[in-house]
This record gives sequence, structure tokens and C-alpha cells, in this order.
Amino acid sequence: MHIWKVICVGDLHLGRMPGGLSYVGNQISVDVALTKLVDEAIEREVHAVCFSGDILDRTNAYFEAAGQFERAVRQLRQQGIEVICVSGNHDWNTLPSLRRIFSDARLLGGPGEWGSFTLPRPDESSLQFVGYCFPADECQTISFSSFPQVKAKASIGLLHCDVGQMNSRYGGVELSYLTGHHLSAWSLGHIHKRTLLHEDGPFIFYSGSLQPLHINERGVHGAELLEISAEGKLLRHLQLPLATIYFDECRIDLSGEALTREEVLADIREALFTRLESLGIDDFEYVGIRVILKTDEQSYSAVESFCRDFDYADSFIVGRSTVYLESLVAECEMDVSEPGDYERLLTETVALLSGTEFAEGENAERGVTLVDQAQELLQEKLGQHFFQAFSDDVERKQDIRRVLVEAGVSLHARIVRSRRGSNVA
Amino acid sequence: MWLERLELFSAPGFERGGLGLKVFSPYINIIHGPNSSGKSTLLRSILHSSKPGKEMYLAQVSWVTSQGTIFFDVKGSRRKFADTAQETIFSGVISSSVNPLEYFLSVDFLATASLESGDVFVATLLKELRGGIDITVLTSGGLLDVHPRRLQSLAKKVRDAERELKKIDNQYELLAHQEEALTRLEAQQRDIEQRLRNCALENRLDEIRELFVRLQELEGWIQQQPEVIKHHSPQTFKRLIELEEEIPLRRSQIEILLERSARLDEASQKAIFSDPASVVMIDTMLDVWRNYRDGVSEIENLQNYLLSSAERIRVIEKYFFPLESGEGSDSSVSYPASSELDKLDELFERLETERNGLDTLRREYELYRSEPDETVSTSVFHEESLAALRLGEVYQFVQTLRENVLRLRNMVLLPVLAVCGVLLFYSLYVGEGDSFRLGIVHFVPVSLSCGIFLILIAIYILGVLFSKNVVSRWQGELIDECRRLIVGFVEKTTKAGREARVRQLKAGIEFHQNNIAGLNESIASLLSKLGCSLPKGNIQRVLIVALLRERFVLLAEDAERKARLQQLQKQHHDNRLALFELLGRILKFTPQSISDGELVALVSRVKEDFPSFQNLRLENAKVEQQLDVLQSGLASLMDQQESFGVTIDLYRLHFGVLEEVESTYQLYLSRQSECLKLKQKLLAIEEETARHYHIDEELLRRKLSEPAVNGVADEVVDLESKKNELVKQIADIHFAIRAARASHQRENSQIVYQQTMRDYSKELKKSAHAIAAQFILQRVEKDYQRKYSPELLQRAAEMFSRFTNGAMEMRLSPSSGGSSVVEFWDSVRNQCLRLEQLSRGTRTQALLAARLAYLFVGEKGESLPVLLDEALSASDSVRYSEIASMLQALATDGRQIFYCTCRDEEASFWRYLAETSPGKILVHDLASS
Repeated sequence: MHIWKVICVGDLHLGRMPGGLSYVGNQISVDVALTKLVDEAIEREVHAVCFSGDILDRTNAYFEAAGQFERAVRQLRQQGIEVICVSGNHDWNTLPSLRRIFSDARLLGGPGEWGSFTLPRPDESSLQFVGYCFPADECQTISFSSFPQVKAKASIGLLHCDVGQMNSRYGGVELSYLTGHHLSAWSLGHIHKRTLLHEDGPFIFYSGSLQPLHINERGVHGAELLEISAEGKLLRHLQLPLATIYFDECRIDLSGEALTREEVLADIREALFTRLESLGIDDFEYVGIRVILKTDEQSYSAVESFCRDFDYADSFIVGRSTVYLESLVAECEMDVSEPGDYERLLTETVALLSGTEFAEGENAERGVTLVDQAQELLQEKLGQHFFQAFSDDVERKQDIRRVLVEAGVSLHARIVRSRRGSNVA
Repeated sequence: MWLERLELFSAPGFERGGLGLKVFSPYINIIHGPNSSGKSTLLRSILHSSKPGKEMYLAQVSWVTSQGTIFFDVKGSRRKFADTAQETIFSGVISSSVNPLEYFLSVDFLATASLESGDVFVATLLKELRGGIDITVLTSGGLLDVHPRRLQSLAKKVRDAERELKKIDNQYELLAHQEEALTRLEAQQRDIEQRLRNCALENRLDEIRELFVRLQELEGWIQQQPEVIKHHSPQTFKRLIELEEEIPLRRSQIEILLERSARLDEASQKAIFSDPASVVMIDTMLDVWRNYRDGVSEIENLQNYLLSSAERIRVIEKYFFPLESGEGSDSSVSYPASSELDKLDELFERLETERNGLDTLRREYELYRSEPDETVSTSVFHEESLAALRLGEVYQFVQTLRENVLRLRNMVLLPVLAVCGVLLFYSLYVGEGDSFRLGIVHFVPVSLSCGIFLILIAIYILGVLFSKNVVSRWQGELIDECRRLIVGFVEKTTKAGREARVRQLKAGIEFHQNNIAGLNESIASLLSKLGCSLPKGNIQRVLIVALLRERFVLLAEDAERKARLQQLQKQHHDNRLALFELLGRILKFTPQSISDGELVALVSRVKEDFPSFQNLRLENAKVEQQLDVLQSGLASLMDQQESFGVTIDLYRLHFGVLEEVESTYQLYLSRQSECLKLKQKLLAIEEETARHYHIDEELLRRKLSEPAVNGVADEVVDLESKKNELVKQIADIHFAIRAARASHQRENSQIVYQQTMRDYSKELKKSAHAIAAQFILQRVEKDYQRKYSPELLQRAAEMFSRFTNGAMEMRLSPSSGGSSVVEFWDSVRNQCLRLEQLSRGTRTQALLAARLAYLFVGEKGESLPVLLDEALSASDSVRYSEIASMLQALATDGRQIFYCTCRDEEASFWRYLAETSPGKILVHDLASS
């Protein structure tokens, strides 16, 4: 019995560097993971490699990213492996214009159109690919009216969309639309986390980004290998861990201890070793990790100052992995037992801002007012640069709220420390 | 407490020399008059009336208190009350608190002063301020510090990185435009190349044209010639051509055939078997050869077997026969000697039995001999005593069993028998009377009841017999066995018994020894009869007989083999002779003596050569047949050749045109080859041109039909230069695109940007934290003040906010060193101001608010009048009306208010208010009095 072997790849964002670890350099670029993908595809002798949009990052789409992709396509085609693509919101305009360069790769459809391609076999069993190219950088809905006719028993759909989010600006699609078309599998793009949406009937999944691009994209990243029988039945699916970097978060409890700088550093090292050993991720060459140091009010100031002055270019070697710190964050829970009036007011304010208490009615309005006032103040004193990191107003408000809470916690910790006295170096 | 009446006299500054008697309202009194009309003097007089000192302008004063009206005259600067009690009340009220009269009067004069120093308002506030938190704790460690310069420097770096990123983006954008332009440039290049091709074609056009003309001429001539030739001698020419082709072909065939014939002759002569009869003989020879080979191998096997058999017999005889093996084997008893051997076997068996019996007896005898006579050996009789004991146990068991059987018989069988008897009796007794039958009896017939009863009786009798006879017999046997054993035991253990046993043993031993001696003699005689003797070594009996038997068998078989061998050897000799003779006949040599090796070599040569010889024979036959055919063909060809020569001669003779035909033909050939060369040359030119410029045939044909174009060289040079330029441009763009595709320039720049952005963000975050901390601190301070600030401040702030219609806010701010200052928050301008930074009007309002607040908090006892001298003149109309309504509210609460003003509009305002609330406000116009 013939078995079709296909590797499905989600968002590549070639040309973009994974954020937060810029000091590491080009070793963690997406191009490295793409090279691994090509090697894996050749070694496993797959029939095709599919890309579900956002292959090229919009910031660097034309030449560098295109060059990297072209190189990969050429290598795959030399081995007789088909390359099937659709465009996403990042490369909706660039990918079709590069058709001339990628003459070997198949781009399904044009902007806003469905397209189809059939991979034939001598024994007349064939594998059909259907796909839709994103029409613009934003697109409310995806029309299925011109969905092509699927003749082959084995078939795979490629789509860049936001499943279940009908109000999304990035192609909102109901899951039922996808399950309604009887394909063997749907390989989706746009969500960077690997997600299996539907396993019975058509296998619908986001394979996630090939290389994680942000500290929040934790866990193993890579591509999905599908094995489909000539009758169109999914026999096996397997995640291929191709990313060269693994992002993670590590929490260390430092509360109740008066620690020197060296002791904190030693605690971090030990916790990192324990965490990474428990994860068992020897396959990854690089690990980016965010360390959250949990402290009490006594030592918060010292730990926060340690975090602020830490040199992130230091790295650790754990097993075969090189571990880089993305950031160090100090976290403190305020002790509100028997506070003075002043501390109580401060605690109340921080609680109000953090949204944990007093978050209703008048207090909620007060909280919003405080954030608005703080935003004005920050805008006035720090200018627009500070707000560049926040993409929209909601996110901005949340970040300002977070800054306020952190500052409040810091103030509170200092007051408590001055009241109780502290041995923290 | 309020001032009811006041009479002044001879006050300075008044033209009329005094203000005279004034009667005041207990609520609000507005004293209006121009400057120097005595307003301030009046207020000071009221103030003086409340405390002892200079009371120079006062004449009579009347105060109304809660305890009645206090009236006093001022005579000779001395205050004279109506009675002593009134004086006590008045002084008590005045000294009970800070005198608000003086306090408020100073508003106007202190308007420019601070609230900080010596002010009772601030002093009261400071006592209650803050919960003891040191502000320096919060500000230490740079928590609230923002470093704009560092921030600017980092921002500059970010901008630089951003610029670099933008620069690369611009470069790439430009490159993208260039890439678009590339299509246009390539089209231009193609156009120029096309034009160049045209020019090149035009350059060589004359040459091509000339070649074409010549070619056309030649082709025309060639087309005419065959017609001429055909016209003159069509058949001769045709035959000539045919024969010229055929003759060399035939000749070459003849040569080949001759050569092959010669080769076959030679091969045939070289054949080994010249005589065909030998082929038949070879088959016979091969059969004989097979027999010969089989015979040889069988003879070898037999010889080998005989050798090994002889060896085996020799080994056996070495043991058993004293004579030399050669003599023994020849003179020994002939086979079969099986009866003797069987007998010998039996004797040995008996001898073994005797020996075993002798050994048993000897062991027991040795046992008796080795033990003292007196002792009873437990080791000897242990088993027997144990057996006796076991038999005793068994006896006990059988006895118990018997008892139990008897008991069971009595317990079970007897009651059952009784019941059955009763039932039988009953059934017999009742007879045929149906009315008396019981249930069970009803269904059991009488005969069955009787049968059951009889069976039970029989079982009972059998049980009794079994228990008595069988068990008794078992018991008896057991007792006998026990008795026998015990008797044997006793016999063995007693001395007499032992001696008797020893005797028995000795007799037995002797008997066995005699038997053994007899058997040995029989064996010896039998062996001597067989011609062998027993070996000295200890060889087992069975082995002796087996070996002897084997020897005889071997001897018998060897005799058969020897006979067979002799037969085979004879047959082999015959075969050899036959083979030798056959070979001699086949290979044609006279039979003489020949060794076996030579014979084998000859046969194998014959066997190897025979198949090739057969092939050769077949081929030879074919070749001879072909040779015949070919030779006949050759003869016919020679005939044809001869006849052709005759024909040619005839043509030569009879037609004189043959030479002409030949010469024409030669010319035709040469021109045809020239034509071919021209065509090739033309083709070469076309190919060369096409290789460089891709000329199509259509274009060439069109060009050839046009007149020649002159002066294209300049154009070619021009176009070439343009083309080179374009090619360079295109190559540059291609190179740039390739370089861009392979580069990581933007990624690296992105890394730099992210790094600088990270540093900048870190600093920004730090600054944001500082600003946020400042902000939160301010908010908390504000809340703290609102919740926990002194009542005095709260009242003052409330009034001040009301006066300023919410535009200003009064609050107390901590400053370094633990002290605090009163600050004013301007919510319109969003800034915090100190008292001295306020405008005159606002400052007055602030101070008024502070003092009014103090009234509520600081004053105890009677409410003293409030004296205001031009305090509101700097207020705008809105604030003025707010203060006025506030004063009205105060007056309604029972506080007398004096307000002096020189402004007519203020007086008009108060008069207007007086009309709206009659009896509450009294306006005293000093100018009119």
C-alpha cells in the first residue's frame, strides 16, 4: 500500500530574528531551523513540504528572506520533493511576486483565491492540495464559495486563518467550515503555538511557528509530519522538533532569605539546571529562559536591583544546550498584615491597579482614571518611544498598569523595609 | 457674643471729629466709606474694646453675651463695667481662646506673609502630620530618579540603529525598483541584440548572395546532365554503373570463400581420428573403460577391507592365541564354532553367578567373624527389628479397624434392620384394610418390603462374616509374620544361633568354591578345544566371548572377500587387455605392454577430443558442400566478367560516344561535388551566423531579396556600446540582488537594533518605574491627606475649594527633613504652588479659609465677631459671591461679622443682599453719617 508522506510547516517569518535574545546573534535565526527542515525532509524521503503562509516576514521579505527560502526550495526540488505554499498576512503581496524566482515551488491560487495542485502517481492514486492565498494584510472573512473540487482520495488543505474568531482581522473561520470539506487534513497557519483542533475526520491542526520568535512561544516548536494512505486515511502524525531554540520560564522562590548577590546567582544557576533537566530538552542547541524571582518585601529591593543590573550576555551550558537569559523579573507579594495607615493606602492603591481587589464600580473607575493619568504623565515625560513597544491601546493600558503595580510594590517594599529594618545587602 | 453698640469720640482723621454712636446688627455689618473715613479706626476700636490697653477713642461699648448684655464706659482710658460680674464674664470669654478679632483683622496686613512661621494654623497641622514615615527612604537608591541624559543618549543609539535599519530597507526598496526595471532593461538588451543580428547579416549578405548564384548555376547544369547522358546511351550507362558496382563485390566474395575453403581443408587434415571406423569403436571402448574403472575401485575397496580385517584379527589373536598369529589363523578351528562359543558363554555366566553367591556368603561370614560373640549387633538386625515393630503397628491398626467395623454394624445395621422389620410387620399386619395404611406404606408393596428386608438381613450376615473371618485371617497372618521375624531375630542374636549360621555359611562357601573350580576347568578345556588360551590380563567374560566370536566371523567373511577379489582381478585383467586393444585400434598403434598410467592418459585424451572431433567432422562436411556451391558460383561470375568485357569492347567499337559519356560523367561528378561543397560552405556560414545571432531562414530569404545595405558598421559600433552598457547594468543589478539574497545585512542590523532597543527599553522601563512610583506616591499622599489630615486642614481645604469654585485645592505636603508646607494645587494649570506664588486675591482667600477653619476648630466658648478689613476686594465676582454666601451662613449660625470696604460696588452688592434677606445685613455708610 502506498503511503503519502508530507511535512506541514506553519509560520516561518523568515527574516525576523527571535526577540529578546538579540545578543545571541544569527545562530538562532529562522534560517537555521529551515536548513534542518530541508535535511529532515530529504532524510525521511517525503513527497512534499507544505507551508501555510507567513513564510516571509513583512519587515524583511524581499531579498534576504526570499534568498533563504529560494535556497531551501532549490534543495528540496533537487531531491524531487514538491514544495507547496499559500501566502499569509505577512507575505500576501510578496510571495506571489516572487513566483518567478520560486518557479519550482507551487503557490496555490492568487491573492484572495483558492487554488489546487495534484501530485500524481503511476498507479493513479494521487494526493491533492487545496489552498487559499491571503488577499491583504488584514482580511475579515475567508470565502469558501470558490472552493475547488477535490477529486483525489488523499487531500490536504492549506489555509492561513484564525479559527473560531469570526471577528478577527486575520481571516476568521468557523471550525465547522473546515470539517465540512472532506479532506484528509487541514494544515493551518497564523497561530504560533502548535494546536490540534480536530482529530476525528479531517485532521485539523496549527503546526505553530517553525522557530519560536518570542519568549511567550514556549515549548517544542517544529513541523508536523503526516502519513496518509492512498485511500486518504491519516495513518500517523508526528511533530518534528526542528527549532534550534526552546523558550521557557523558570520561577525561583527567594522569599524569606537575606541574600547576597552571589547567593542569588547561585540559586538561579541551580534552579536553571533543575528546570532544564526536568524538561529533558537535550536536542535543543539553545534555550532562552525568563527567570522570575519571587521575593518578599524584605528582599524585594535588593532582588529588583539585582535584576536591573544583571548582564544578560552571560550564558550557561546545561547538557548539550547553551542557556541564555531572556530577562530577570522580580515578583513580590505584599504582606498586608497590620500595616500602618500609609502602607494600607499604598497596598490598596496597588491592589486597585493590579485589578485583584476593588475592581468594581467606583473603584474600577478610579483604577482606570489612575492608569489614564499615569499614561498622560509617562507620555509627557518619556515621549512616544516608551509606547512604541505596545501595539494597541488595550495592551498599552495593561502595560502601564503593570508598570504602576511594579512601582507600587517596590515602594511598598521599601516602606516595609524601613519600618522593620533589613539585612539585605 | 456680639457687639450691640459702640460710641466713639474725637477720633483722628475725621473731619467731624468722631463717629458717634453706632448700633450694629448681630449678623453682618458692612461698613462702607471712602478712604480715611474711619473704617479701620472703627474696627480697631472694636478690637480694643475686647482687650485692655489703649482705648483712646472709645466712649461707650455694649456687648451682648449669652449671659446678658455687658455695658461699659471708657473714661480716662479706663474701662468701667456696670458691675464686677460683667467684667469677669467679658475677660473670661476673651481670654478663653486665641482672639479671632485680632486674628482676622490681620488678614489684610498679613496677606503677603507665609503661613509657615508662627502661624497657629500650620503649627497645629504639623503635630498631626504623617504616620512617621521618612520620605528619604522612598527616594533613596534612585527609585524615583529619572536620568534624562542617559535616556537621551540611549534614544540616540536607538535612532541610529533605526536609521541603519531604515537605510537597509531603503536600499532594498531601491533594489526592488531596480529589479522591476530589470525587465525593461532586458527587453532593451534583446532589442539591441536583434538589431545587431540584422546588421551582421547585412554585412555578409554579398558573400551569401554570390554563393547562392553560383549554387543555382551548378544545380541547373546538374539537373540538365542526366538527361543528356540518358539521351545518348541509356542502357550502356546503366549497365556500366551496375557492373562496376557488382564486379568488386563478387570478387571479394570469391576471395573470402577461397580463403575459408583453404582453412577448412587445413583443419580437416589436422583431425586426430582419421579412420571413421574408430568412432564406433570409441563407444565400445568407453563401456569397457567404465567397467575397468568400477572394477579397479571395487578391488581397492576389498583390499582395504581385507587389510583392516586382518589387522583386527591380529589384535584379537594377540590376546587369546599363544601361537604366532599367522599360524593361529591358518590352523585354528574353522568357522562356524558357534556352539562352542555359546557353551563358553553359558559357562562364564554360571561362573559369574557362583562368584556372586560366594561373595554374599563371604561378606556375611566376615561380618560374623569380625564381631564379638557376646554382643548383639544392632547394625545387623536393625532392619529386621524395625520390620517387626512396623508389623506390630499394622496389627494394632487392623485390630482397631475390626472393632470399628463391629461397632458400625451394631450402630447402623441393627436399627435399620429393626425399622425395616417394624415396617414389614405393620404392612403384613394391616393387610387389606385401606383405612389404616400410612403414606409410605401405601406406595411400597409388600413384596418389595420383604425384598428390602431380606437384602438387609443378607448384608448384615455378610458384614458379620467379613468382620469375623477376613479380619481374623489378616490378623492371624500378621501375627504369624511377626512371630517368624521375632523368632529369626532371637535366633540370630543368640550364640547358638550364630554358630549354626556360621556353619551354614562355611558349607555354602565350600560348595560355591567347588562349583567355581569345576566351571574353570570346563572353560579351560573348551578354550583349548577352540585353540586359544585365556589372557593374563583381566578381560571381562563377555568381551572374551564377543572378541572370539568376532574373530571367527571375520575369518569367514575374509574368505568370501578373497574369492570375490580373485574374481575381480581376473575380470580387471580381461578389461585391461580389451581396452588396450581398442585404443591401439582407435589411435593406430601396435599393442605392446603399457602401464596403467599411460592407459588412463590415453583414454582421457580420447574422451576429451571426441566431441570436438565430431564437430569438426560435421563442419567439414558443410564446408565442403559450400565450397562446391561457391566454386560453381565463381565459375559463373568469371563467365559474366568475360562476357561484360566483350560487351564493353563492343560498345567501344560500335559507339564512339562512350568516351564522351565517360568524360561527361566525370564532369558531372566533379560539379556535383563542387555543388555539395558550396552547399556545405553556405550551410557553414548560416550555422556560424545562426550560432551568434539566431538568424531564421525566413529573415535570410527576405534579406537576400532586398538590395544590399551599406554603412551599417557605425550603427553596429553604436549598438555594441549600448549593449555592453546595458549588459553591465543588468549584471550589476543581478549581482546586487544575488548579494542581497545571500546576505544577512538586515538581520544583523535588526539584531543591533534589538540590542540598542533593549538597553533603551530597560532604561525607559526604569524611568517609567520612577515616574510611576512618583505618581503613585503623590496619589497615596493625596489619599492619605484626604483620609488622615487634621480637621483644621480639612475644613480650610473645603472652604478654600468652595471659595475658588473647585479650581484650587489646599493641601499639606511633606518636605525634606520631616517638615511640611501648605501647598496649593492649581487644577487648571495642573501645578502645585506655594502661598507666596499665589495671586493676591487667591492668597487672601486661602488665608481667609484657613482662619475661618480655625474658628471652628480652635475657638472655644462664646463666638466672637469676625472683623474683615478690605479682605475681599481682590476677589473676582464669582469668588466674591461664594465668600459672601459663606459669610452669610456663618452669620446665620450666630456669628457677628464686620466687613469694611471702600468700594461702592461692594456696598451695592451687600445692600442688594440686605434687601433679599432683611434684618440680617446692615450697611453702615460712614460718608453719610
